[in-house]
Amino acid sequence: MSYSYQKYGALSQGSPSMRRALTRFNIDVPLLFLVSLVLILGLFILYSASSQSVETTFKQIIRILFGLLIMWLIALASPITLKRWTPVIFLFGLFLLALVPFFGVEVNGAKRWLGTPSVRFQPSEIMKLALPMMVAWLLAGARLPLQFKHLFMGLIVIGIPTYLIYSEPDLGTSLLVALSGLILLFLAGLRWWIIILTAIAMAISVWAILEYRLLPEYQMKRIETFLSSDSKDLKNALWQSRQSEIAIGSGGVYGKGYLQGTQSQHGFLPEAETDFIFALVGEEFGLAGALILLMLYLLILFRGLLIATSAKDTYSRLLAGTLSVIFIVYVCINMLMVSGMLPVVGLPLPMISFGGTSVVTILASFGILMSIQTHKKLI
Amino acid sequence: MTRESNRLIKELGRRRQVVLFVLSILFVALFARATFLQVYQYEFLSKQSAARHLRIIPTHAYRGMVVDRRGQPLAVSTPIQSVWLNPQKADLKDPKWRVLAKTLGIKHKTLTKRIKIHARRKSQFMYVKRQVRPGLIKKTKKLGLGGVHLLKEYKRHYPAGEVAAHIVGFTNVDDVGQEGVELAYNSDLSGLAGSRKVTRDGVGHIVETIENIRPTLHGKLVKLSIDKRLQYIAYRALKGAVQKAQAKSGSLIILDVQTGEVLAMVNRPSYNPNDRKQYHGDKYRNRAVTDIFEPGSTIKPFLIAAALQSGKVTSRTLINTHPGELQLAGLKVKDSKDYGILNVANILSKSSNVGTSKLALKIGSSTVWKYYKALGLGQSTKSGFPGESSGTLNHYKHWNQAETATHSYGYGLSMTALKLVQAYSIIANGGISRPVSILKVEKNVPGKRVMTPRAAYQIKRMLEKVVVTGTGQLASVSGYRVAGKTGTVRVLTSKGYSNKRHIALFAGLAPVSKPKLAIVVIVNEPGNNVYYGGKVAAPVFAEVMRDSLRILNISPDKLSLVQSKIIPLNKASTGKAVKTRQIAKQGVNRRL
Repeated sequence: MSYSYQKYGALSQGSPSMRRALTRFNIDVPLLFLVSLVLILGLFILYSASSQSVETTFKQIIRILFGLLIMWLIALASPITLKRWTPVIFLFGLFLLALVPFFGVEVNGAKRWLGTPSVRFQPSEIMKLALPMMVAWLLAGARLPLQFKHLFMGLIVIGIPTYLIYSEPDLGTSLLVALSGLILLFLAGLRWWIIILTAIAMAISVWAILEYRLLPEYQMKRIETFLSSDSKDLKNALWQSRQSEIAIGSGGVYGKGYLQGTQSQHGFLPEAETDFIFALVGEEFGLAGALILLMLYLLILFRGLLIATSAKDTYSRLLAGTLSVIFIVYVCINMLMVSGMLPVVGLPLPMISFGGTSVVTILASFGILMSIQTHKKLI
Repeated sequence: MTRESNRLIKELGRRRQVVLFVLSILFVALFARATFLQVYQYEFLSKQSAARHLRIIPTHAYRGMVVDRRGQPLAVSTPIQSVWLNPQKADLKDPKWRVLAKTLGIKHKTLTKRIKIHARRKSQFMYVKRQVRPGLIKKTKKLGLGGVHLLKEYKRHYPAGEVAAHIVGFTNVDDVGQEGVELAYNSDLSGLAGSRKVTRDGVGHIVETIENIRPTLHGKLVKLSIDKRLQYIAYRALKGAVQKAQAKSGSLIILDVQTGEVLAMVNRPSYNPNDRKQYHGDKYRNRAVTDIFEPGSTIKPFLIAAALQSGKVTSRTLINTHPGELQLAGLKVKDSKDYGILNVANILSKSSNVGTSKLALKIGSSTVWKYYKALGLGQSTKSGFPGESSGTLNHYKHWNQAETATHSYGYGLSMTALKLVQAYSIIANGGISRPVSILKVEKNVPGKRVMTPRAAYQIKRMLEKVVVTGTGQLASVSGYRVAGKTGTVRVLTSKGYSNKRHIALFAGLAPVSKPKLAIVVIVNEPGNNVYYGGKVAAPVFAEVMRDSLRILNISPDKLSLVQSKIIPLNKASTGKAVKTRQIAKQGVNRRL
């Protein structure tokens, strides 16, 4: 195999020499610029959300720096290398997931972690990247329209980790991981009638399950719990949503001002540092602030889709598209949840919520995007 | 290959547009939702936000301290916590209720029953136990029972305990005065609770005060006239005497005659105001102001003062008390023995009932009444003490001969110990009556003349003789000239005057040359056959007077030289009085 690559950086900002220098290190400057902007804004928001805790903010800075390092290391590798290692990464991820039931650390009745109670990580986070990579690897050589063989293999690759994560139990993450795989299937050219049929079948089965309680009782309860909140009871979840809506609504168009939010600063807003941090944005910066943040996320999406479009091979194209879309799906689900349009599920706002795993995973996916963008195959 | 690839790219582009379409629907939904919340519902949700974190809360007014004249605390409010619960949220199946009940010293059954009753009434609040010790609060917190909360309150603490209990009084659990000064000056002490607007966090802690709506008026400090040191010695002496005499009760008052301030006021039985279990009416009643008694012989100085002031009698007037009894219509006045012919001074020192009766009959009932009335008998002292009795003094129109006689030696009229001590302070003051004050007097009240200075002076000297040679010898204090009068009163029962139940009294003042203190000692119903005022009450008077004068740094006025001259002085009515009085005066003046 004799591929040759060209270091390439399009649409970048900043001085050309600077851009060239960064591009040499496989950094996509526009993406880095947007990501850095969101991360820095996020730190200010987190500082407010943590009741001005320097300690929390500093912790997050360390995690972000670690995430940026991972991002850069991934960006250094070429998509070819990534593609070559994809099955290994996926199988390694599956192996770790399989270890969880036996060696996992139990927190709040769920085994989701490996490691010690203090230093631990979720193998399911690896799957968030490894699954789309694997499905892209599978379908990279597939012809259009997608054949049943590929569809079948794709579904198996999606199904196994989804089931493992689901049985941890972590229904929320398993659905999101499955969704990333399904988005990839869709982008890869799944036949429309299959999509429509599947959608109808799923709608019917969901309705049937909820209506006739077809699953065992404990699972029904789990689903109901999921529908109301991640692990707390329904009343609690409603209370959270209510407080969050009040926070956002009382912000008005221009907000109450930085550090001035009464709902978030005085502990009425639940999970203000993590899942509900967007409510603080709404309260302190108003509609204007929320829209600006949303705009930044959209710009990241557009940059990601642009990278996908300009990618030179199917694997890269599918992976870049999926990662960009699933990123914005996370953002949307979180915002819809916080503004009271979706039930409360435990999902952080990417790059802003406090928490290590989320930010590292997201930055790693940007690393893949940068790798795809900066190692362009000349055909 | 290229065609295939181009098709793929085209298809991917189409699919991406679908994805973008779905995403844009999501964004529109998000935007609409945000606009709905932040523009359309802004006002409503702002109010909701304010309702969550803004609160108008009452601010507790701190109950003022009660201190003695030297600033020593007699009643102080200390913060304490009460345990309450929300009966709606109490899960009675929890075995921890038993532990809680045990910790707080309540019966588990009683607690459960009360919770059930409150729960049935849909009540959201119920005290489990009020004013709980900090140690037990810790244990209660550790239990972590659902629905159980703490409430900060103030508890009244009385450092002087039973010693000043009757004066200071006490408050109820809600910090409202119930007795004594706590009741009398409740509005001054309690102040006025204010209110303020605060921001509150989700847990209910107050974050900051936005504005004070109404300022809190904290309770004022109440400075009493009481001197804690005198209060202590008075209480110790009275307690000892009541115990020794096996008496039912007793009271003692020390009055500053120059200002009208009550320096000490004690009663037995007493109670510990820090322990609510001891609150019984017969214990917390301030007998010195609520209980009235017939003054008996202690009224005699005032009868003699009336006689002297009427002009019909002088100190030299001789009265024949032979044969020691006097038969009137329906009454036989008796002396303990036949004293023969007595001058006015000796009537007092021998405490002759026949003598005073004859004097009273001589000057007439209206004169006796007039002078008694001027002293304020039959009226309260207006000290402001809750439940102060005014005593009784019937109008002379209703007096027959016998009643005129009994009024002369202290039966048929009644008064409180406070009134009696005030009356003696008039003698001490040279005839000036001052209002009694329980608060420290910063500016002396001028007072009102109710007795001529001459009469007051003469009576004082006669009373001094009572202590030196008469019935009150046990009241003498070394180094000081003391004047006073004993009294032994038979208790009026439903079957007439008892032969067995007595009140032992002593009222007096010192130092005679420049009186500072008047003290009244009452011992009710001494039990072991020693019941004379001179035996039971006089020694208490002597002990308290001696210690008080020393504590107050009053210069002694009876030195050995003067003492030798004083003895003939007591024969004031025998003719050499004026001369010897001058000698004594000079002696005193030289010495002092």
